[in-house]
This record gives sequence, C-alpha cells and structure tokens, in this order.
Amino acid sequence: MSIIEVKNLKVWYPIRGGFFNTIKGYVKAVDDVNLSIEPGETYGLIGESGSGKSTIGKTIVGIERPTSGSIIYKGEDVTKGRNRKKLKYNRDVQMIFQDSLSSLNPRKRINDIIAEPIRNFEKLSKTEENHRVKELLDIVGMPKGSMYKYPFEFSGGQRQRIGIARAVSTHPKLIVADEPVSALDLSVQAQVLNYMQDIQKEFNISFLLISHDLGVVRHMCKNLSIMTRGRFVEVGTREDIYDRPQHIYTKRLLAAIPDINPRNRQEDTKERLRVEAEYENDEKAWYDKNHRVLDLKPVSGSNTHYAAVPESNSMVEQGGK
Amino acid sequence: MDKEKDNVLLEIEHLHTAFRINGKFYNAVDDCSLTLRKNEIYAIVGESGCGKSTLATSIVGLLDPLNSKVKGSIKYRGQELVGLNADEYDKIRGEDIGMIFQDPLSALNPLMRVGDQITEALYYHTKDSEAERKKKALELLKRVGIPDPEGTFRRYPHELSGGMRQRIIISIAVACSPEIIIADEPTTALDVTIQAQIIDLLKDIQKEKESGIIFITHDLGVVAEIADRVGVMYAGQLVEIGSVFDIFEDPKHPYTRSLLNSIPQAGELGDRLHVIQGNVPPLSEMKRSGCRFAPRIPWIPASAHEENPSYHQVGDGHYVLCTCYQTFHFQEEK
Amino acid sequence: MWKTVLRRILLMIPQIIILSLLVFFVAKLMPGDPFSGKINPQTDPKTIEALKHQLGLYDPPLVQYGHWIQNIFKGDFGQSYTYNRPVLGLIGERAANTFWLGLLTAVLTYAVAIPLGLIAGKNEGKWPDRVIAFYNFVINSVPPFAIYLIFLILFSFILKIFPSTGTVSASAHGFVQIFFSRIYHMILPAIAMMLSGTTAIVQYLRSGIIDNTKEDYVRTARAKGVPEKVIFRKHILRNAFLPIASSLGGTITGLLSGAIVAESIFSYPGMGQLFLQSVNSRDYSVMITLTLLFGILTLLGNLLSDIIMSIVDPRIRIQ
Repeated sequence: MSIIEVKNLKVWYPIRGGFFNTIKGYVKAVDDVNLSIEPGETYGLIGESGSGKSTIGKTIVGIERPTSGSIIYKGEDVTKGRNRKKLKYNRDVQMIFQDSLSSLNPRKRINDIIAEPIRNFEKLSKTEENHRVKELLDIVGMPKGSMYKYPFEFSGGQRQRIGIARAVSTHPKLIVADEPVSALDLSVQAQVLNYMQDIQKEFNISFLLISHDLGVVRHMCKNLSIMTRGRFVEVGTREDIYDRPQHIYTKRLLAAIPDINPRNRQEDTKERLRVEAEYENDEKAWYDKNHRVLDLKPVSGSNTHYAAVPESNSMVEQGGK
Repeated sequence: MDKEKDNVLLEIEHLHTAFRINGKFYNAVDDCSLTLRKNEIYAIVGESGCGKSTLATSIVGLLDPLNSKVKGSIKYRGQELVGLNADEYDKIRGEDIGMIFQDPLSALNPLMRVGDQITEALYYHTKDSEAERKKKALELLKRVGIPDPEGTFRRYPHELSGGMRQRIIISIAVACSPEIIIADEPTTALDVTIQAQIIDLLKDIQKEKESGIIFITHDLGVVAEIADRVGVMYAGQLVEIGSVFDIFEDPKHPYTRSLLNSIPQAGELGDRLHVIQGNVPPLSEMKRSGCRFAPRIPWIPASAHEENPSYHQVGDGHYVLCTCYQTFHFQEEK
Repeated sequence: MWKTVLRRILLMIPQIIILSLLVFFVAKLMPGDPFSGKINPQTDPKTIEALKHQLGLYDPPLVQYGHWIQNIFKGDFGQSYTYNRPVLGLIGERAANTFWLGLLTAVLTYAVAIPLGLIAGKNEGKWPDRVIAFYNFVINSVPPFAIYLIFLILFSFILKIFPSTGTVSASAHGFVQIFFSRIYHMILPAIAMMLSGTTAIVQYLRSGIIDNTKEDYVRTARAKGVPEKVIFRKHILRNAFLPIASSLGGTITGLLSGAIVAESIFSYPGMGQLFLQSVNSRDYSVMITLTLLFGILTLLGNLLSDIIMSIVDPRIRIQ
C-alpha cells in the first residue's frame, strides 16, 4: 500500500496573447504523470531544468494547483481542500528546499523556525516545545546552542540540516526534497544525505527526492523516474534505469555524467558522441508530432521497468548498455 | 631545455592574494605556485571558499584594487603580471589570456546584442575593419556550435538558452586566439547534457589552438573528464598537485582522499557516505601555521603533521603538502 | 508592439468611464454648492432657487451625469461658475502655462540630477559623493511646500529678484520680450520644484552605477581588455539609466498635473492653482474636468513608461 499516489497529474499554465488577451495555448509543465511512493522509501525524480520535476513536488505539497488529476493520500483525493484538512495532510507532508538561505525566514531564530510547524499543528507548552526543538537539532547533528541563532550565522550545509529538522518536526509521513544538496559542497552533501537516511530509518519517512544529479539519486533511491518536457520518459528500479536504459533521453543523460575514472575518458566521449548522433538522427521517433513524450510502455521481461519507447522498439530485448 | 622553456605559458610563484575584512587583510590564496604549459588543461579543484576563484581572478588582475592585495609572481611567457596597471593589463586580457565565467547570463550585458559583445573583444586587439570583425564573429559562433550564427549575432542574451550563452562566452574568450584560457566553473550552472557538450567543446578548442587552460571547478567528475594536471586546493593552499592519474588513482593528501571518498558511488543502496568532520574556518579565523587540514582529521596525532608544511615529491610531478599523508588513515580504518 | 499599445489605449476607455462616474458622484457628495458664501445675502432666495433649477442642480444625479457626458461629446465641458466662461477655454489657457512650467522644471531637474548622480556614483564614498549625499539629505528632510515658501519669501519678498505672481509682465512686447518675461516668471517655481525632484533621480543613478560596476558583465568586458572609460560609457551607464527611463513617463505626467501646491504658493496661473480654486469655490465643471484630465494623464504616463522601457530594454516586451 503506497503512502501517496499521483494519478494522471496535469499542471498546465495558459499562454495568453493576441489583441483580446485570450488563451493561445498552454505550457504543459506537468502532462499526465503517474507515480506512487511506498512507506519508508526514497523515490527519485530526475530531470534537467525546466523538465517540470519541481512542479510535481510543489503540487504534491499544495503550493501549485493541479489542472487535472488527483493525488491520493490515505485513499482520498487531497487536491480537494476539505480532504487535506480532514487527513491533516499539511502536517503529514513537508518540504525541503534547495536554497536554504532564502527558504528560512532571516528575521527568525532557529528555535522559532523549527517550532513553527509544531505550533501550527500541535499544542505544546513552552518547555515541551523547547525539548522537542533540542531533540530535532540533535537528530541532524546541530548543537543545542544553535536554537538562539539566526539563519545567516550558519553555513549552507548547516542551514540545510535545519531545514530537515523543521520538515521532520511534525513527524511527517512524506518529505518532498527539491534539490536538497545541489547547492552544497561534496563533503557537506554527503553529511546531509546521511542525515536524510538516518531520519528515514528512525521515523519511517518516505522521501520524494527531486534532483538533476544522477549520482545522488542512484545512491539514495530504489525506484526512480526520468522526466523531460513535463512527462516521464522512463520509470523503474535503479538497476533498470542505470544498467538497462531504454529511452534515448535516459541514455543521453547517463552518457553525459562525467566518469571519475580518467582512464575511461576517450571511451566515454566516444559513447557520448554515439548516443548524441543517435539522438540527432532519429529524435523524431522518440516523440510524437507535437514533440510530446510518448506514452510509457512496459519493457518486456520486467514488471518494474517502463519506458516511453516507440511501438517498434517496445519489444526490444533487454540488453546491456 | 629551450623547448621546455618555450612550452611554459604561465608561471605562478608564491602567490598570495589577500582581501580586506573589517580593515585587516587576510590571505585567501596563501603561497600557491604552479606552472601551466602549452597544450595542457590544469584543473584547480576545491570546495567553496578554498580560494580557487580568487587564484583565477588574480591571474587576470580582475580583483578590486581597493580591497585586495596580490603578492608574489605571475609570469606570462616571462612577463611579470603582478603590479601591472589597468592599461597594461588590458593589452594582455582578451588577447593573450581569455576568460570564461560561471554564470553565462549575468556575464553578458543584457542591453547589448550578442554579436556586438563578440566583436568588442576583437576591436581592441586587432586592426580589423568592422566587416572583418563581423565575419570573424560569425565564424566563431559557428565554431562554438551555434546553429544559426547570422540570427544569433543579432540576438540579445536573454533570448538564448543557458548552453548557448555559455558558447557565446567561450567565443568571446577565444576570439583573439589567446594562448591561455582561464575557465572559472564554466559548467556549474548548466544541465549535465549541456555540461558534457561544453566540456567536449573546450577540449576541442584547446587541441585546435594548442592553448593552455586553467580550469577551476568543484566537480571531481569534470576534473577526471577534462584535466591533464590537477591542483587540489584547501584553505588557500594547493595541498596536492599531480597528473590526473596521480590524483584519481594514487591520491596522497588526506583531503584529496577524503573528497574522493565522499562521492556517491554505484555501491549498495543506503551505504553511508564519507563525511569530513568539522568545517573550513572563515578567512579571518583561519590558523596560519601548521597543517590546515589537521583539525578535520583529529584522530591523526599532531606529530604526524609538519610545523611548517612543505611540499614532498611522491612521484614524477606529484607533490603533497605536509607529512601527514604518510600516516593518514580514515577513522573507521585502524 | 503597436498593436499592444492600441489595445492598452482601448482598455483605457472603460477605466476612464469608471473614473468619470466616480469623479462626478464624489463631487456631488461634497457639501455646499457654487452659491455657498458667494451671493449677496440681500438677494432674494427665490432668485437663487430659480438659478439652481436653471443649472439643473435639482435633477436626479444620473440625469445630471447623462447631461454632462452628452455635453462633453459636443465639446462642451460646461461653464465655470467662478469665471463665467467655458471650462474648455479656461483649462486650455491654464494648461499651456502649466505645460511650460512643467517643461522647464523637467529640463532643469534632469540637467542637475544626472550630473550629480554620475559624480556621486563614480566617486562612491569619496568627498563629492558625501557632499551630494548631504544635499540629498537636506532636500529630502524639508517638505516641498516649505522649500516653495522659503524661495518665495527669500527671492521675491526680501531680495525682490523674482516676481511673486503671474506669467508675463504687462509691459513685455514682441516675441523675444514675452519669451524672456515668461521664463523670468517661471524660473523661481521651476527651481523650487526642481530641487525636490532631483533627489530620487540622483539616488537611482548613483546606486545604478555602483551596482552595475559590480556586475559580472562588467568583469567580462574587463576580461576582453576593454578600457575602463569605455566600459563605463558603453556598459555601466546604459544599464544604470534604465530605472530613470522607466520613471520618465510618470515624471512628465506628474509635472503636468502635480504642481498644485507650487502653483498656488507662487500664484502661478496654471492648472494646479485652478484646481485648488475650483475645489474651494465648488466650481464643479472645472473641478470634474480637471480631475478627469489628471486621471487620463496618469494612465497615459503609465503607458508612456512602458513604451519607453520596451524601447530601451530588450528584455521587456509589453504584453
């Protein structure tokens, strides 16, 4: 039983123009997307800038309104305000943002920042609240003294940990983490990712990890999807996607990741150019005439792997990279 | 021997670059030396605040003269650059040394057509007529892989994508075929597929012009992809210098080893990543004596470090700062 | 773009209609009428009543509004009760006076503010910048009407250098004499208004120059080897002028309609002075017409600003 299920989600923005400022068309930020996340798992959502991945995250937490489709939580559609209230959805689903400086109120002390969601959803006495904040800071490895400081007094990695503490404060079931480590240095990134795994184990939290970094997602996620142009091009387990990519877009992404073995350099470049040539030659085959990503089809020989491949390709045997 | 001398493009010796913080000067680059040769991509890798961008900016003399001080020597083909005035530097910048920046949108003037921004570089270093400059600019646009050079020439920066803008920046940097290109995090703001294209483009241009590139980055993957030589920078110092194979296959300095260890790898799901303890102290609080990495590896005894760390040669062209590399082990290893 | 401009102008029609309704009925709500305090107490109240009926003051408000609009389309904006002449001619005369004063003020303002802003921006933190900052501080801390009064008292009454009223002296003959006499009459209010107008422009330009000097594209220009002087002229200045260009439309309409206080204090017979008089004497037709005119000027000013911005900044396309 999944913790959350996104069904046929569409988020379209109207483009207005012309003399009467009428709707000329739509930007389809998210165009018919399905996904479901299991309790306690980290689900990966990979895409480049403008792919619509952040819009999905924002729609799940309710910052954006869907054009159509539903988000099912505990069996009910939480795109309806009534259900959100009844199910305490806003307490159970929290978010971590990329830019920790602009997402933490600069005029508030850490104490108040972390306690804010608690105050919204629970009635605790001052001492209970203080106790909880200290506990939360401890979980993300911050000293208790940080309670009385302001966000600017911390480094990027520390702020991101404060953001995690805030998100965890209401004991959520799901945290949407939108590029949580992409602004951080490598060594700090490692620390934040470790803390995310720790709290996941401790509280059985599910994560939706939105990232452009294929390395981070491979490290964190069992299941993931690759997104471009508002649609999923490929969905599967990490082995499905990284070892047996089917869609040309996935292959391009994988070929583009720099390899940390300098001996593979020539080979990597050659592979990249090969994929790039393949992409340029029959790009059209992978998209319909409106440049829309095709519908997902099951990849033969697997019940976890789906790819938006053309008809003729759908029966292709699963082969190595 | 002469051949070797001919190959040396840039020789940096004991460079110190200091910034004024609350009235006092603190070294952001602290005694760095390196040599860039022809046909070589020299990567400087380190985390934010380590001084790598300051090092790059010092070379081209683009620091704010009121709030910074540069000491030491930067020689371009034997000519000393430290101490040049703005006019003298203007003759070298753009002509002998080109520069590529991190954020291609803010690095282009929003009110000027792309073409004019490219021809501007030619105007000050060539005697070309306007028509010749335009012809060259169109060739450059074609060379850096812009699909519609004529149309792009007339466009404004905001009308182009991030990858296209970075190609424009590259075309500006190489307009006068400089011998040296300084690239400061040129792919950080780009998507991976675009990053790969830009890396391939830079490699091609480097080969074609036989230029030397100083490539500043925080991304070890990019280093492995592009660099010939690597300098690993920590707290204003180059803690390890070596060929790209030295650094990735036989890293010596504890910092290099720790960094490589914290990259998420293809291992088992949920493996814990390696974390480097503590933080880099801010410039004004940094201890200036002893091994600067020592506080981050407290389980290594003080006796393992040098009092005044010096470079130790561990291989052909492979140098490490401080003796602590000899006894270093990760905390979990006994 | 011109299609969008046309659309914006057409969109102004409903805005103006709503504005006219608002103006008309708010004016009706004001206590008193054109006769309050104006009429000899000996006059027979019946005569006054008859006059009021004749002027339509007892018709239902909507009917009065209808009449008003009808007449406007005939080119008749009504009679001024105070001046006993058609509103259109009266306002036309005053508008010309205001226009010349506004133009002179605008020219003076930019002629003073731009050099000051340039000097301050180029010498950030040095003594010229501090002197200019002090000037800005002083001007900003004195309310404009106080500046006007000080000017009037000092230059007209004590030093007697400039006239304290009127637009042109009666003795002036011929084009040249009249021209200079006009300027002579306008110069005091213009300088006074210029002073309070400069501070915002100086500030914009100063911070524009300082901020843009730190921009990445300036670093790119330096990395190309472009000389510092050229960088300032070609790169920094153009960008620093953007906020001033965007405020140009508003400044112009502001000067045309907003000189109410200055014109009254300097007894300069422009639209602003007329407006204040008309409010005081319940001269409805004048008051309503002027308010409507100021409203339309503001709308046009906004449009003008947008058009100017879309011309100077390629990133902005008016939609």
